[in-house]
Amino acid sequence: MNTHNYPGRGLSIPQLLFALNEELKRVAYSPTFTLEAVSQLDRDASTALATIREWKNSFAHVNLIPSDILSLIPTHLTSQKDRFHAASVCRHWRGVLLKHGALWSQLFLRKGEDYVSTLLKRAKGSALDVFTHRDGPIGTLPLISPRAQQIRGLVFSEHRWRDVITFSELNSGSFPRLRTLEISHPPVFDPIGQPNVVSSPPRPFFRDSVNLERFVFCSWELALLSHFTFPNLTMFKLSADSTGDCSASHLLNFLKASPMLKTVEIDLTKLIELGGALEETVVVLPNVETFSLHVAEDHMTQVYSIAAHISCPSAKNTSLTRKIDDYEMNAGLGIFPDPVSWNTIVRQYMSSPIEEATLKVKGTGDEDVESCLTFRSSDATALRLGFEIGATDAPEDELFLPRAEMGWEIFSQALETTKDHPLLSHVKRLHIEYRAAILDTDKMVSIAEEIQELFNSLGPLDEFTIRGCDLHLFLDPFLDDPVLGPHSPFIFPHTKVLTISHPLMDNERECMNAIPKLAKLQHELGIPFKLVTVRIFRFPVGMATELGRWVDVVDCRREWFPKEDDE
Amino acid sequence: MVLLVTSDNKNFVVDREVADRSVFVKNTLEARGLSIATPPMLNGGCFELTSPFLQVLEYCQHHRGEPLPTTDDANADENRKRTTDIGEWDRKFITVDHEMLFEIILAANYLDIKPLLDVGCKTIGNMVKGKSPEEVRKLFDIVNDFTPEEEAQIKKENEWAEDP
Repeated sequence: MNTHNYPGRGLSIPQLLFALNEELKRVAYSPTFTLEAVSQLDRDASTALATIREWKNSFAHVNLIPSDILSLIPTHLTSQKDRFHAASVCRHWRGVLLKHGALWSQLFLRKGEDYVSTLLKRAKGSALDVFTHRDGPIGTLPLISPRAQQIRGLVFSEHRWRDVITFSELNSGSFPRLRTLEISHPPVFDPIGQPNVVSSPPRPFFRDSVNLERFVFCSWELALLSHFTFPNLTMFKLSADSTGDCSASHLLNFLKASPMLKTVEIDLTKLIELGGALEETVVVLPNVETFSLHVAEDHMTQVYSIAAHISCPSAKNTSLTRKIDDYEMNAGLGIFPDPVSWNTIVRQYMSSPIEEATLKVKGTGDEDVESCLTFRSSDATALRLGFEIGATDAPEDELFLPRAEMGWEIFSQALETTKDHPLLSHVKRLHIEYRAAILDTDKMVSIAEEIQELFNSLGPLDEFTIRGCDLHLFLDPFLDDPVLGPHSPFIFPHTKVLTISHPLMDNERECMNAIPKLAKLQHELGIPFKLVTVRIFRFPVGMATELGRWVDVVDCRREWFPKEDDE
Repeated sequence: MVLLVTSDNKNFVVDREVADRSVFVKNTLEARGLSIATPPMLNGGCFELTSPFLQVLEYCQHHRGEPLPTTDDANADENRKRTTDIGEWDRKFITVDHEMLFEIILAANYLDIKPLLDVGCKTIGNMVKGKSPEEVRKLFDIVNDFTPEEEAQIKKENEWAEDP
């Protein structure tokens, strides 16, 4: 690289200085020694000085990097602010960056016409990502219009619907390069107080965007979905607070018209109407790999009702989650699916037998209570049923259940649902984790009975993991002095590997001494554990040795607050 | 094995797998039909390289066996550019003075080692990120060489930059 000669600058430093000196003398000794002449000299001097400094900069180490490499650096700057700043460092950087059209392809229309025209000029033929806002000057549209074919991404934020309509008709509605469309949070009223409504447009929005792949739609009215049709869509994200027309048919029809979808994320914050006409409708999405449905609701198990109208036979990850702000459910309504819905969901979202079941409950009620049931099949397909209760400031007497009891109620219902799982006999790995409030004796008895029923439904297990749970739920019958009262015979499933992990087991030492007794019973029944792993804070003397008499391999290690498994 | 000779006449014998991290070396060896592993062919590959070669070699050794980026994978290219994340080892490796950093970038460019070039460019990108033009100038020993007219235009642009 010739470090002493930038392209397009013909003069050497001596030539430049000589020319400047000559000009200085000419002006100084000229009879026309005017302000204008001196101002010109001032400008020339500034230019000369800038050129000298530019030459000086050519010796900076960073400027030894060839221009094509230097132009790569700002591609790693995702913020436009950083790109503007980089283009303001020196002439060399500016020249390099301004030639790189892709660096200037993000257009925020609210910044005005000067900005838009400047960046359009720099972007040249690069694909454009356009961000619109309701405050965007209307004058920017004519600037964008001739370049509509270059638009790759389009984001509407707090927009007016009439802007969306205007935009969608740019270039006669043809957006051949449009890949991403985001329409977010349209307000109910526009800035001048007029209802922000859309009357039925004569044509669908962005009707010729046949290559659109990603559509993010946050709206208060599901009905607006009927104005969009994207046959090649692969990703759809919906966030709807349905205060308007909220029939589920709009959502289902949209999904039905998008058979190429691979990822679907739906977040509903209000109830939507399922309607009698939908009873038989099931929309099959053959290519969907990830399906997520999150419903915030107060009174019904609607998430499963909606899920029952959709089928994703190729899904690898399905997540169905309900969230409520307070646990005010009527006692008769379940948290998780009833057996009929359960069978439907499994049939529509999982194609292979379930091999693993994980039940987790976390939280005390003073904070969010989170629970999930996750089922995994032999082909690594996962179906997650989530239930969350938001933290509440409500007085205790206004709650349907005391805070301390929320966790166990969920735990109990989750056990019930697991027990009803249509393919439970195929489960090879079972994991139970309970990190919620401590249970009183009555609740423990009830839960222990449900656990026994669950055990009775299971076939042989390869792995059984108990994390964080009060071990009385599993081991009370093996205690010298059972806390939960007299028991009928307690049968553990045939299990190869048993793992018990509890960070604060010190107050349950008697339970730890019950583990060898359980192992002994399994041994006597001819179904011994192959491996027992115990992770606790403190071990009773001789426990590991006694355990070793009945188990092939014992792995006992002290652990303080064991790490939680990832989902 | 391949013998690589730098421009200051230092010899480096490296595994072919390590040498092949450089597309330039790989293509050259393949074009010349050189043998890969036999000792008699040690003198087969000879390249003129500059002083940061030791560092580049260390990088290639560490990343030997990893899949090389394909030239036609446009999406992967796009993704590499969008992220500024640098792996723990790479981050420590590239923590050198500016002069060496630029030398490594030049060497990576010359030897066509795209992942290393990316690491170098991301590192400079991370240095620039969040800094004002004046701070960047100070960082890289650059002086403001704009004329007052150019400054006026830049001032206007930086107002656009401030507005999110």
